[in-house]
Amino acid sequence: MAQILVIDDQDRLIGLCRRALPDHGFLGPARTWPEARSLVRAARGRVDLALLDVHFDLPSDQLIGWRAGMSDAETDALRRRQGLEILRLLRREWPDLPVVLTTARDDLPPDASAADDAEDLTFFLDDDRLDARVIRGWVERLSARRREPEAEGPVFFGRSLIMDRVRSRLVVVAGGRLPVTLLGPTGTGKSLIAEHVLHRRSGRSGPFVALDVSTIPGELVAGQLFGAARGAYTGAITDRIGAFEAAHRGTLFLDEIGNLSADAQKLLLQVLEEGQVARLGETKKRAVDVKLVVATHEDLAARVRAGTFRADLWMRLNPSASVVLPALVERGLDLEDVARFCLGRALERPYLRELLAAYRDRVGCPGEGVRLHLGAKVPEPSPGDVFVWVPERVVRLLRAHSWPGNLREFSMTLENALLFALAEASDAGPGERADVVPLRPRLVRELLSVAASLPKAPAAPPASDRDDDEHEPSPSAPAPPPDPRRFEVFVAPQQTLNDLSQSFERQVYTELFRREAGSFAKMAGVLTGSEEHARRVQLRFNQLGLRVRELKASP
Amino acid sequence: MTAREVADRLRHDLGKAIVLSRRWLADGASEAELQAALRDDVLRTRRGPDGVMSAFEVWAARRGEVVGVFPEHGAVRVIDAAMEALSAERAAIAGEGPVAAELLTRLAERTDAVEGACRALVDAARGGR
Repeated sequence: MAQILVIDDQDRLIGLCRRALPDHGFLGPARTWPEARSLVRAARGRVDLALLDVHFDLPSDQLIGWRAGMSDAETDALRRRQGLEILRLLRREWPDLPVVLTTARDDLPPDASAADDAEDLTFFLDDDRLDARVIRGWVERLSARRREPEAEGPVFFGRSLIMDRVRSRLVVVAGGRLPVTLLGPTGTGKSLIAEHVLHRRSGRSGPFVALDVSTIPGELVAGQLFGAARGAYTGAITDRIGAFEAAHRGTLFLDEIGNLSADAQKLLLQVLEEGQVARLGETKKRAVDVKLVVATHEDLAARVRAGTFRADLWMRLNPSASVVLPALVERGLDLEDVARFCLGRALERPYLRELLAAYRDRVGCPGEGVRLHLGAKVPEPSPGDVFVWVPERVVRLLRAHSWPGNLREFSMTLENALLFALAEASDAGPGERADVVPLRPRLVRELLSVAASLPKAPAAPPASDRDDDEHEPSPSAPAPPPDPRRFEVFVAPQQTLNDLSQSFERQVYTELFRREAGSFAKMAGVLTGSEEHARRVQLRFNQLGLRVRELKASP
Repeated sequence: MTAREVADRLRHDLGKAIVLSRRWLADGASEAELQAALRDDVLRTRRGPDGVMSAFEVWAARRGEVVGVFPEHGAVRVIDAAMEALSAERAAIAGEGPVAAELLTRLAERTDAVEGACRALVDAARGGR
């Protein structure tokens, strides 16, 4: 069922819609912009489509853009284009909402400027042709477009315009024979797309084979890609096929292609040009039919200009059809959907299922159902179900975070939050609903604060910028500094989750204490966003059994 | 108001509204459904927070400015004639009882004539026809 907002100063259109399309929900009619805004907000943005009239016979003081001193003619002109004024404001708050203007484009007042920039989301429907069948067609086409991501899983998940464009492009390139290049920041789901979208939609019968070039020592990449004959190099004790042969009639995904050495680039180019592969140490060539998908977070075009990536290989990778995946923050509207997906996926992990089962036993909540609930209010009880509740305040915190690690960071943060929430729920006090496991804002804020405050991992240098022996630390080189984001939790037999949680907290507090030179105010600034919470942080510090004197004494 | 503004407003308020419900009828709609749609289109043409206006009231409110801008245009006479015919059958349109199919068809043709005349005025204003 689609949810459709009708913005119209008259009652007739919505009445007809409700009668003719009873299987869809209609909001409104909103007669003014404030009414429309209230309705969309009340629906928490879950509106699939807006039907918007253009001409609004409203009192002048209710018209957007009206000001005292306007002549009657000017006011009338404003009425005739009021729908466009509403559209402008609607776009500002809900840029991805498809809007059907119930007028022909030619019928717009001559003084009306272009309707808006989101041309692929604004449609003109001549109301001469407006009837139930036409409206039904629009509603079903547009709402299917917005529902499709849910059916497609993690990558397509979401309703943002930017992902809509990515989706359309992927669908086109998936069926083609040419290579596909996936670009975009790290953690945006490139490998998921390669496997679950491009391979699945390619129609190819062979397997999906993935190789992360950045994880393979430079001298071994060629053997992994093309295979090797026995004795081709030291340690090649048997004949082995490479990824190209393994992916015959299927899809080969090469992640971090920018890390390919110059030699491997040359060999890859040959394979792409000839459609044949020769194992290292052999002259015999074998035909391979492979759909190649490559990915990188680097700007390969810049690497080509800098001379560190072969221009002819880049051209073979079909750069004009590359697909750029957006950072998570660019997918504004998707965040709640992605959160649902990540939490749902986390809940399928055996260790969390076991924790949840243990929680049910502990609190006496029989049944097997588990449901996710995002929203301001505690969900209504449902027999046999346990709710993982993400309160509105937590959604706001998630929205406010910059997510430099994108989908990967987001997913891990939510999984951690779920883990700790289950741990905290074991200590739930009286008066709290046993069937609700909330992700509390405090917990999420702590997880986000620590992540945001710690230094970012340096970007890996491209393969060509480093020597092969950098893969192994030189005996004479100083040991790298410990990664300040890395914390360890030691699990002892019979240890409770609460113990584990506190152990983790102790490490975070200790690290922050050292980094902030023992200032609780600064620690509070990091952990809670306000230095005024220093007292609270100090209290928790003491509760965790940490002592200022001991920490200052230790190196 | 310019000729185009007058014509656009008439088409919006009357021309489109007088055929709206009928256009939403499914194929094969019954005579009762057609009658109900005509009732909506003719007697409840504009319906909003300020109340209900029939097609006759809308035309009465707009006719003066239309004639002022299109004094010689045949569309005005077409609308006048259609309104007269529709008004003569007002009771039949408003009534709950059955109305002969032939009459319903004739009334529907009258509303189509109003819609067509309003469109002709818009075309005239835009193209000088």
